[in-house]
Parts: sequence; structure tokens; C-alpha cells
Amino acid sequence: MDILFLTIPIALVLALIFLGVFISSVLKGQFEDLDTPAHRILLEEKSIKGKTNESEQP
Amino acid sequence: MNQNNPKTETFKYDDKIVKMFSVVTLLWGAVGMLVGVLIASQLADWRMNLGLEWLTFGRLRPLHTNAVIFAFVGNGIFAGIYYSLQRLCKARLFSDVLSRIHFWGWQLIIVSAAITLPLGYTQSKEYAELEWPIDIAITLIWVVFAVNFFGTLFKRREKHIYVSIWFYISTIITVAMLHIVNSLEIPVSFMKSYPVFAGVQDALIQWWYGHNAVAFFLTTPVLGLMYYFVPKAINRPVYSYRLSIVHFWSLIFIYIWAGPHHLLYTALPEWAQTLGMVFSVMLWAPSWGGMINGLLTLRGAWDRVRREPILKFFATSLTFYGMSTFEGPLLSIKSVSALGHYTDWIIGHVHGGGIGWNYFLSAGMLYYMIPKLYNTKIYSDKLGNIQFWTGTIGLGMYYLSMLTAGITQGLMWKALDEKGDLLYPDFVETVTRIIPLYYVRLVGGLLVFASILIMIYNIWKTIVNAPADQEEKTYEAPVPTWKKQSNSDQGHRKLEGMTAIFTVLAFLAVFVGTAIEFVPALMSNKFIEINPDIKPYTPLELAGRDIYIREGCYTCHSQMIRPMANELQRYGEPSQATEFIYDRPFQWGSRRIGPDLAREGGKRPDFWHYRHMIDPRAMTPGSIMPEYSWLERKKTDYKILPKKLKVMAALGVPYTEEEIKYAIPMAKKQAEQITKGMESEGVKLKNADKQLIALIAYLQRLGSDLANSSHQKMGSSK
Amino acid sequence: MPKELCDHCQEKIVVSFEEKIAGEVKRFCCNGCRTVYKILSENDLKDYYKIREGRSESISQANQKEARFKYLDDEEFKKKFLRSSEKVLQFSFYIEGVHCAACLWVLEKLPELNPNIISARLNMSTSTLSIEFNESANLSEIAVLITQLGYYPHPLLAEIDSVQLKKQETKRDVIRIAIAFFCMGNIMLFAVSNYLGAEPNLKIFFDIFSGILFLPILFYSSTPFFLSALGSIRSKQLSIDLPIALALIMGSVLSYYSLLIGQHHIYFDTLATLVFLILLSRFLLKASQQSSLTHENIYSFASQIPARKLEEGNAKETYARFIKINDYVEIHAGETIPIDGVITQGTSSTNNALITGEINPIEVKSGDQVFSGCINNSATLVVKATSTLEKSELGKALKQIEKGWQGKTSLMRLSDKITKYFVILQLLIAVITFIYFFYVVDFETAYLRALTLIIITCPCALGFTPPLTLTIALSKLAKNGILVKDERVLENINQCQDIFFDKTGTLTKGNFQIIKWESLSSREEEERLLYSLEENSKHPIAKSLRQFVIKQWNDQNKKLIPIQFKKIEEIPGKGISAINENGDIFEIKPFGSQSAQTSFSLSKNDQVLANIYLEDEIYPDAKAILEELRSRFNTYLLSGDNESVVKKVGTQLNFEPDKSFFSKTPQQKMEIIKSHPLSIMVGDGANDAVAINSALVGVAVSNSMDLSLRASHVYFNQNNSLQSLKKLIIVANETERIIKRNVSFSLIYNLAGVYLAIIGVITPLLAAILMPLSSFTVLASSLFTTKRMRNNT
Repeated sequence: MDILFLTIPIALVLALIFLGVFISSVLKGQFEDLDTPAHRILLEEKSIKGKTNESEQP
Repeated sequence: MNQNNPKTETFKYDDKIVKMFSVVTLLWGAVGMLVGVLIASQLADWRMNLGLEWLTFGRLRPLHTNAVIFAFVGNGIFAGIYYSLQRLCKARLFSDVLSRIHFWGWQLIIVSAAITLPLGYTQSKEYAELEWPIDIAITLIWVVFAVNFFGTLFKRREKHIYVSIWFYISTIITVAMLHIVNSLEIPVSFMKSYPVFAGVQDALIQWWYGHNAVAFFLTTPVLGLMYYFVPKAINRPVYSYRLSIVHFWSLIFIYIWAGPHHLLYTALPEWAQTLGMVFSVMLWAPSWGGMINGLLTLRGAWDRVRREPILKFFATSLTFYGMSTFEGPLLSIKSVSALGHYTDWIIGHVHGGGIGWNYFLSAGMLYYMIPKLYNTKIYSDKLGNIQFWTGTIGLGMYYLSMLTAGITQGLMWKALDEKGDLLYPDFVETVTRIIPLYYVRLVGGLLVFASILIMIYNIWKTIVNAPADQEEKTYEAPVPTWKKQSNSDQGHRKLEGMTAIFTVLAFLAVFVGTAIEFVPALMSNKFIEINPDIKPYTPLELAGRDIYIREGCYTCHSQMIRPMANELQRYGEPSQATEFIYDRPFQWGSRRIGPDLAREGGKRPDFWHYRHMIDPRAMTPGSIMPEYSWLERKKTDYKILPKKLKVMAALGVPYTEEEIKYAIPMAKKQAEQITKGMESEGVKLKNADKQLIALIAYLQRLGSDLANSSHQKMGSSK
Repeated sequence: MPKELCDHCQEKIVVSFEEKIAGEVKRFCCNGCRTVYKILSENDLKDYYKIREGRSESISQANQKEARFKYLDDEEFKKKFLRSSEKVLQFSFYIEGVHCAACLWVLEKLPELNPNIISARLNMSTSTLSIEFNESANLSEIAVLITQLGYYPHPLLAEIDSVQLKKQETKRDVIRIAIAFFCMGNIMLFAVSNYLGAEPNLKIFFDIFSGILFLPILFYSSTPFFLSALGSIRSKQLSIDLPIALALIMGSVLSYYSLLIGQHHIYFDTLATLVFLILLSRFLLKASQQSSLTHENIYSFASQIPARKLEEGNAKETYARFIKINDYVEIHAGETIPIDGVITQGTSSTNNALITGEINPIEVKSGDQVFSGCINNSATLVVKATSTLEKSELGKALKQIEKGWQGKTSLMRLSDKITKYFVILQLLIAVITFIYFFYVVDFETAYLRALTLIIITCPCALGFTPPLTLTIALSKLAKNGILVKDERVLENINQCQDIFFDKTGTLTKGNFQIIKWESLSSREEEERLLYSLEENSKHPIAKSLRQFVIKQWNDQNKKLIPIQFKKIEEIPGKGISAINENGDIFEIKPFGSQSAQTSFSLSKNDQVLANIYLEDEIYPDAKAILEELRSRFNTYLLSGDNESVVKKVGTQLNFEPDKSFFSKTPQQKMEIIKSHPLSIMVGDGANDAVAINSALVGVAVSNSMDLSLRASHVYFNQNNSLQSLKKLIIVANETERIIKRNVSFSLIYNLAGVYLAIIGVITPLLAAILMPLSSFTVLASSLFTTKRMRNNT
């Protein structure tokens, strides 16, 4: 079962990358507000030139 | 910069690429399901392959799996990711050129699969059957996709990274790594290669990839799409955004250990099996976290679910997601897997997830996106509902028939009479019993196929009736103020996007480097326990093995006897890990539509196999095996044998110099010997160089090393 | 006219305000909604109504609170409270009335409404709006803009660095937990593989990897334990982190030693799980203690008193806290006096109810002393400050609010003492078990038994229960519109025996219906006079009278022009008197008559024009709730109204005759309450301020949040006060029961744990899982509260 000498290090390296990404995003303040984003995706920007037809809403 | 309001920038979404991917998703969905329906009909009635080599089950089953996973769901997630990423980042895609390369490259890969698989060019590793040149193409296109994705992400105008984007990121990085680890192979010729690992090691790598490909290609990206499209469809925020973030991150740190639950009761070491089981049962919690979060988002809108097809598709897909992610951990419990493994129950589970979760969610997504892309309304909601009901009934029939077939066959294999002998000794009895259920499954499959045709018609009419002027709208979004750099001109920000892409590429390079440098160390004999009785295959047997792989015999026959009472009586001694050290790629298989062949060697005379391959029904009445008449016509390719042996030797198989040099004469001599043995039965000597003879050589070798050595020592090895 | 719906908030229109906007006539229920609609249509933001379509249940009337934000522009204020990073200024407001995606959309469109605003970002979980703007924009304009959009902004004055500090700290905690989770997850997988019997050459590989993965936990994630343990050793008083730190050291020494010499005592998985689960339970405790309305917010609302400073003649709006001694301050009629000082110009009458409890206003002229917190009734005054806000009367009241939370409730003091003895006991037993087993068996078992014992015993459940349960109770109450200033209030409620009820606004709805109008002269003239007299009085009756008159005039669609008075004076409880240009005296005088309704007469130059009889409507469920409350409390009726009305309401709600007091001034009310030390007083926030303040638990019902929070301990902002009172009492009782339940559970758990550890039944890993489990159960039991509390809140 010595294939694990390859899979485990790779798995750990991958998980370490995700840990690093997590830490950097925590420091950048990605998880400070965990309520508003759910609402924010519902608000779509209004198109400017597309004034002719009804502004594009969700 | 927009003049009237210096603080905002105007930009256009690249919806053209999303339209291309959406249309092509439906086409490949139909093609994948057509192939599925065809091979299902062949199981119900073997004559459905019209006697053509390219339509046999062995060659089309990999095409069905690859088409449905990588072509149908693949294009679907690309369409959904490109649509939602731009909206969530309020920015155009990183580069239109890369998007086009990604699109046409991916379609080229699909077409090449559609050509090579029916011709038999396969690596026989499930969901990774494509040969090495296509593997390389997949890696390149995936890097193009990653560069395009991360470029857009770093050009975003919205500070917060929505949860869907986290799911996409995890998909891109993990699938890249999985694909590379599972594609470590050394080419022998343009369309032939041998994997670096053998036997148990190859099995674990394959199913570590197999499980995680399903997880990171069919689940995480689709969960990401769900978290974007379901709230948008009912205009309600997701039930608990906090839960979605928590269940994503808690999953990703330790996710990568699942996989062994595909190898329960096989030659994999005991502790690894139990670890796989424990881990798979743990996976049940985060999956249901996702389902509950999705379903509760629909709370309060259930009356609309009754009326609108989009919401029906989303609600049902979430329920099927919950169902199959509950059935999965259940099936990976050892005692349940003892019954379910190799049977049709697994096929029911796979299609419950595949059709129920992936197809329905993609359908809901497309019904939401197409009207937005073409600035029009869906052609007919009634058709949408009809499609939904045909699809659901079809899936219901499919799942229930496969569940019954699986459990019936599983129990019949295990059935012992009061004296302890097998109640159903000959295997074909267990197959003929469930053929009626194959018909039920066929009808179910046809209904699902019909449902996607209805959708194609519905979407096609929507697009045709769309207003002509489809100019791209310009949007306005605030300039990103949170970025530190002061001069936020276009160039600088583009460069900043580059650094992230360089990190991704650097990771891939470093990773591939370590893998390659690590691998030889792994293959050196120090690690593999050597059992002197197990010898490498002779050149003719190797040629026969490659025919076995080409015809996809592993799709129906397994080569792994499990340590259970009934399998001991039916097949013989349970398979040991040491028997497979020269098996490149391993052929344990995951289905038993036909009997297990691990100890087939020597059980039946050569001539039995000769007649059986040409006309299976002659030897076992009621068998549903296709007739392989072309094996009697085609000649074995002797020229390539020395090259094959050289590559095998490079991978650690102890072939001597002479064996490599005189490979061809040795093979011919063994072929003549076998044919001469069958002369009395009327087999002409000139057939010695036919592929059938090489195949017989391989079949007679299966499991014979251990059988001969145990006769002499009368004790069990190891 | 048909009952129409306001075009902005879809409420029924009582009094319609019309406006011609973009070519069509639009009707609104108040001018607040009208301004919002006008702004939205002028700036092409009509999509607000489209977004809001899906969510009708969350629309509320635009707020009409008058706003004085000028003080936000004062330089000193800006210097103290504005964060700035290279040319961009930042400030945040707590926004009242935010509840759906439409509010989010319109508030984040501020940059389009005012070019100086660079970005506006709303955080809906704490409903705070953080704004970035360049120097040329001034804050008061932005605040006014927000009110025009129909939301009321409370400037958040928490010192900048304290907010930043808290954010940094949470981020560090999250990272510590993430690393602990990552290492623990993978170590557990290696450990499970070893349990299941991995082959020898793999077993060593797994152990070494676990050792490596344990290092980040030991040296980063568990630093808080080691620091607090060191701190407690240095300061000689034991903290609950000491045993945890000890267990960590003992465990890792043993594990790394066994790793080196190949022994099988490897406990990386145990210690990793221990650290991760404790960090996680502490993080959840802190998270569940943060309610949206933190103590800083309450303090900043109550202490927002604008003041108009006179510098070389021109008035400058500034913040009361910046007024220094000998500064001159100008106070207009109706404003609160910001600081203590001496009047230098102007004569007026002030109402010192908040401070002295004396309700009838006293005449003040230049040279007299005035106190902060009192209200200047009739004319503009100029006052020379004799003390700063901190040292003033009001300052002391504010200080009391801020100080309120530091004080520990008796329960908290009790649990701290238990935890201290617990730790001593824990270490003592550990040492005894070690010595005993060292002699009886051998070093190894002794070491293991002691280690398991230290891990299994968990004082944190004891330490965290009281603060956790109380804060959860407070946040549950806050969700039901009951704002409680600090935890001790709940504890005090459980000791109270009597409840005093004010009549108007508490037992009765406070919207008086006019049932009889004896008109002795022209009805129209009397109605116009009544409206003008009651125009800016805060008394609850005034509001319903005004609405009554406007409704009459609108029905005959006549335009109402109020009469202008030279001098107007309102004496609560005694009526209103005013003099117009040509010297006529108009008065409203309540008169007691045999009939039980409240009634008053309208007179001009002492000649009665009309007698008006009013009836107040009692809350329908008042009777039932009072019955329930009487099972535990004796209830009193305490009102300033006349005898007949009080008697009538008293009998209806069957208060005993000797327990209902009538026509009591706030001063007398205070004496009655003082005679019952363990009492709750429920009354009107502004008028009965002194009475409420004197009770053990003062509950303010109606009136504005800022005013009431100064005097009372609890503020109901939902209008059904009795319902809220019942909820408050239930929550108080249940909280005490939950705390008792948690403390007893934790004691039983620890006793069992110690026993099992000593007899060696549990392995260290099981101990490491059980110990945090006890904290989780305590956390869960506090979160799930009790059935009775759940169906009442």
C-alpha cells in the first residue's frame, strides 16, 4: 500500500493550499458579513444602453 | 471610465460564450443519453448491437459515461460558471480568446472521445478511459479554463467572493490535480499507453480519482450553480448563507481521503477499506447540509413550485441530491457493500444522482438562463412541465428497476441451500432472472431521453422566436475601491490578475515535477512485496490482455474474488494483492453482468473459449454476451510486442533482454501450440495469428500462477 | 373618499398628502413617504418598488422623527470619530428599519444621490451602514439624506480603534481554529488508520506525519491557553486555562518521547481534538453573545445630545461632550439643555421632570441655574456653561448606563468563585491520583490517569453559563422589541413582588376617541383652535386629537391653517394656555365631572367655547394578562388622571380599590414606589421618567428611544406593552432555571468524569472528546432555552 506515500503528501499539499487561501481571505475580510451577500446577488445592475426595453431585473 | 460618473466603470458581459456552451450542453446531453439507451437495449436483448464491433456494450459504455459526465454536465457547468461568474464579479470574462479556445478545445476533446472509444482505444480506467494524447489535451484546456477563471476573479468589481465562486475554485484546482495523478502513464504508441502503477496501487489511484471526479466534477460545481441559480429563480436569498460557507470550508480541508469505498472486500488492505468506509459515512453530513440549505431556500414559494417548471426542476434535483448522498454513505458500509457491490444497485445509485441531480439542475439552470440571454420568454411552460414529468417518471422507473435487479442478483449470488452449496451454481441463471427488469430500465431510459428531446425543441423554439436585435447591453458598476494599488488603470489590474495565474501554473509545474520524480522511487522493488510464484505475462498473453482491454470486457466481467463463502464456492480462492503486481492497468472491474474471471485460467478447455467467443449462446444458452466474430478475422499485432515489453520493463516488470528481443517468435510459437491443441476440434492452423488465440492465451493465464503454486505446496500462499 | 393605499408604503391613508410627481398625482400617508417617493423618482431609482414586490411582509412607514444632525459637521467631532485613509473619510451609522433587499439596494445607491459619497456598504446582520466620502462632503447632509430615504440613522460613536481591535481579534481566532481543524482532521485520519491496523512501515509514516502536523497546533493554535496560564501563575489566581495548558504540555512531552523511542503512547490526536474543540466552543460562546444592539450602540444612542455653541456671535452646531466651561450655548424652545450652566440672556420656563421630578415648569430668567437633561419650554435662552457634560447631571445618568454592564450579577460572582475552587480541587485530585498510582502500579499508568483526569474535568461549563444564558436571553428579548440595558435587570425582576402600572399608554392604547363635543360657539372655529393648541405637545392625547381634527377637515376637504400664538405653555396634568397677537387667552382645562371619561373644556378669555369628552380604549388582552401576573405579583394602578377615570379603569381590570392611586404627580408617584423597594414600574418614558428611574426595575413603554433609555432599565418599542411585560417576566424566570440546570449538569458531569478517569475506564482520546462535549451541551441547552420560553418569545 505504499502508493499512499504519493497520495497523502499530494492530498496534504492540496489541503494546505486551500488552508492558505482560507487564511488570506479571512485576513482580507471576506467573511466579516455573512448575511448581506445572499441578498446582494438578487440585485442586478441596470443596463444603461438597454433603456429601450424594460430594465433587466431578476 | 464613464464620463458622467467618474466613480463607475461601464462594461459588457460576454454572453456569446454562454450561449455557445448552453446550446452544446443540450446536444451532448441528447447524444450521451442516446448512447445510454442503446447500451441499455443491448443488455435487454444482445442482438441490439447489430453485430457491429463499434456498437458492442464493452466499447460504448465508456463513451456513455464520458459523454454524459464530461460533455453534458461538463459543458453545463462551464455555461453556468461563465454566466454566474461574470454577474457575481460584475466584470467581463478575462479574455474572449481564451474562452473560445476553451470552448472549441473541449468540443474537440469530446469528438475525439466519440471516435477513439468505439474504435477500442481505451485505458480501461473508469471515467478516465481516454488515451494519453487526449489526457494531455484535457490538461491543457483545463489550464486555459483556470487562467480565464482566475483572471476574471482578480478583475472583479465586487469585493465579496460569493459561496458559488468558492465551489468553482475548489472544482478547478482539485480536478486539475486528480486528472494529472490518474493520468500518469507511459505511451507505447499513438493510441496505447501503460499506467505507471499496477494492481492494488493502480486500483486505489483510479478509485481515489473515480470518487473525487464524481465529487469535484458532478457535485461541487453543481452545488455552486445551485447556490446562484436557485435564489435568483425565486428572487429570495439562500436560507442560511453562513451554513453554506461553513459546510464548504469544513468539507474542503479533509475531503481528499474518500475513495476506498469502491474497493470494499477487495484485495485492498483491511484498514484502508474501513478508513474509506468511516470517511464516506462522515461525508453524509456536509452533503445534507447543502441539500437542506437549498430546499429551505424554496420555503414560502411552494405554490410557485407547482406552477413553474424551473422551480420543479430545482426542488426535485435537490431532493435527488439528498437521496443519492444518503444512499452513497449507506452503500459504503461494508455489510451493505457486500450485497450491493458489482450489482445493478450501484447503477441505480449512479443514475439517481446523475439524472436526478445533474440533469434536472442543469435543465432548471438553462430554463432560467436562456430567456435572460436571448431577452425573451420561454416558448412554452407547458412543454417544460411535460418534460419534467416524463423525466421524473423515466428516472423513477430506471431507479426502481435497477434497485430490484441489483438486490435480486446480489441475493441470488449469495443464496446457499441447507447443505451450504450454491442455490444458483451457474451464473447465467442470475442474469436471465433480471432481464425483464432490463426492459423496464430501457423504457425508463427512453422516457428520460424523450424528456431531453422535448427540452431541445422547447429551447430551440425559444431561441428562434427571440427578438432579432441581440446587441450586448452595457452595465455600470462602481470602481473597486478596496484594492490597495493607487493607480487603478486597466493595465495594472490586468497584470495583478497574472500573478494569481502564475501561482496556479507554478503549482501545477511543481506538482507534476514532484509526482514524476517521486514515482520511480515508488516503483523500485523495495516497496512491492514479491511473490516468487507470480510471473509476468508472456508476450502473447500481454497481446491478449490488451485485446481484453480494447473490447472493454471489464465493463461486464470483474477479476476480483471477494473473501465470502459463496464466492469461494463459485470462483475459488479469494484474490490476493500479490497476484496483480504485473497488471497494468488493473482489471478488477466494477460490474458483474458476466461471471468473475479472476480464476478462469484452466477451468475450461481452449476450444470452449474459442466457440464461446464466436457464439456465446452455443456454450451458455441464455447468455446476453455479444458475439466477437471479428476476433477470428483480425490478426494479432506482433510488431508492437517488443516495444510493449520494453515499456513494461521500464515500469519495473522483470522481463529479461532475450524475452524483449525474441518477443515475436515466442508469441508465434505459443499461438501455434494453442491452435494445434484445438486442431482436433476443426480449428485450422492458419488461425494461429488471429486475435482470438491471443485472447485465449490471456484468459487461460488468469489466476493460474497461484493455482499451480498452491497444488505443489498444498498450503495457501502468504 | 375611498380608503386608498399610500403609494410608498401601502399603509391605509388616514390623512392624505398629495404631490404631483412626474406628471401624475400621487397620494401618501405622511410627508415622510412623500419625500422618499420624490427622491426615488427624481434620481431614477424607481426599481426600488420592483425589487420590493416579492417581499410585501416587510414594508413599513417611512420614519418621521425630526432629525438634528448639524453637530456631525463640527471639526472636533470629525477629528475624534472619523477614520480616514489617504484622503478618504469613513464613518458608520446604525440604521433603524432595515429589513430587505430593497433597503439594501436603495441605501447602497447613496453614491448616486450625493456625488461626494464614494461608496456605501450595508451590513444587514448588524444593520450598520459604513460610508466612505471625500472631505468636501459633510456628514449631516448624508444623515439627512438617509432620513429622507425613510430610515433613521444613529451615528455610531464607538471609538474607531475599539471596533478595529475587535475585528482583528475575531480574524485571529478564526485563523487559529482553521489551522487547528486542518491539523486535527488529518491527524485523526492518520490515528484512525493506525487503530485499524496499518502495516508497520506505514504506521511509522503516519505517526511521524501526525507529529509534524501537531506542531502548528502546539505553537500557534494553543498560544491563548499558554498565555492565560502564564498570566494566572504570575498573578497568583488560578484561571481555567491552567489545567488545559498543563494537559497539553504533559501530553505532547509523552507523545514526542514515545515517537522517538517507538513506544505506542502517541496522543497527538487526543490533544489536537482537545485544542480544536475548546477553541471552537469558546468562539461559539463569544459569537452567541454578540447581539445586533451591543452595549456601545445603546450608550451612543443615549448620549447623542447636540448643542449650539456661540462663538463671536454666530451659532455653531457641535456635540455636547465638546462644550468646555465658560462656553456660551444657545438653546431654542423645545430643545434639551445640553450642559449645567447659568442663563445669561432670555427668560423662559423649564421642565425639570427628569432631574427633580417637579412637573410644573418653573420660570427662569437670566442669572438662574439650569441643569442638563431638562427641557427648555417656551423661549430661546443663552447659557454660560459651569461644568462639562461628564460632570453634569445628565452626564452622571449616562455614566451610570455605561457603567451598568461592567457590574457582575450576583450569579456571575458566584460562578467565578466556584470555578476558582474547582481548579484547585481539580489539580489536587490529579496530584493525589498520580502519587497513588505511582506507588500502587507504575509511572506509566499514573501519568496516564492524571493526564486523563485533567483533560476530562471541564470548569468552562461553570464559568460560561451565567453570562452566556443572560446574553442569549437579552438578544431574544431584543428580537421581540424589548431592549434591556444590562443583565442585572433580569435578576432583579425575579426578586420583585409588586408591579405599578401607569394608565395612559400602558393599560390603555392611549389613542383617545372623542365621544361627545358640546359645542357652544362655531364648531369649525373650535376645531381650528384645538388643533393649533395641541400642535406640538408630546402628550399621547394630543396626537389623537390632532388626527381627529385633520380627518374632519379633510372629509370636507377644507385647508387647515393653524392659528399662530405669541406664547404657548403646556403644564402636564394641568392643561395648555396660550396668548395670540391681540392678547386673547386661550386655555384647555381638564374638569372632573361625575361621568368617568376624561374631559376638558376649551375656553377663550375664560369664556367656555366647548366641552369635549374623551374615552380611552383599554388593551383587549389586558384583563387576562393582569390575572396571570396577579398569581405572582400584587399589581397597583398609579396614574396622574382624575379619580373617576382611574376608578372606572380600575374596576374594569379589577384592581383592588386600595391598590389604585389617582391624580398623582410624578413626584408623588416616586414616593409611593420608594415605599415598595422590590417593585417594577411600567410607565411612559418621558413623563414618568423619575418614577420609572426610582423603581428597582423601570420599564418605559412609549415615547422615543433616546429619552426613555436615559431613565428606564427596559424599553418596549412594540406598542402592546402588557404582552411585552409578560414576555420579559417569563424570560427572566426561565433564564434563572436554565442557569441552575446548566450548573447542576456540569457538576454531575465533572464528578462522573473524575470517577471514570481515576478508575482508568476512559482513554485520553475519549476524555478529550467528552470534555468539550460538556461545553457544547451547555451551549446547546442555553441556546434551546426551555419550552415555555420558546413559545413565548
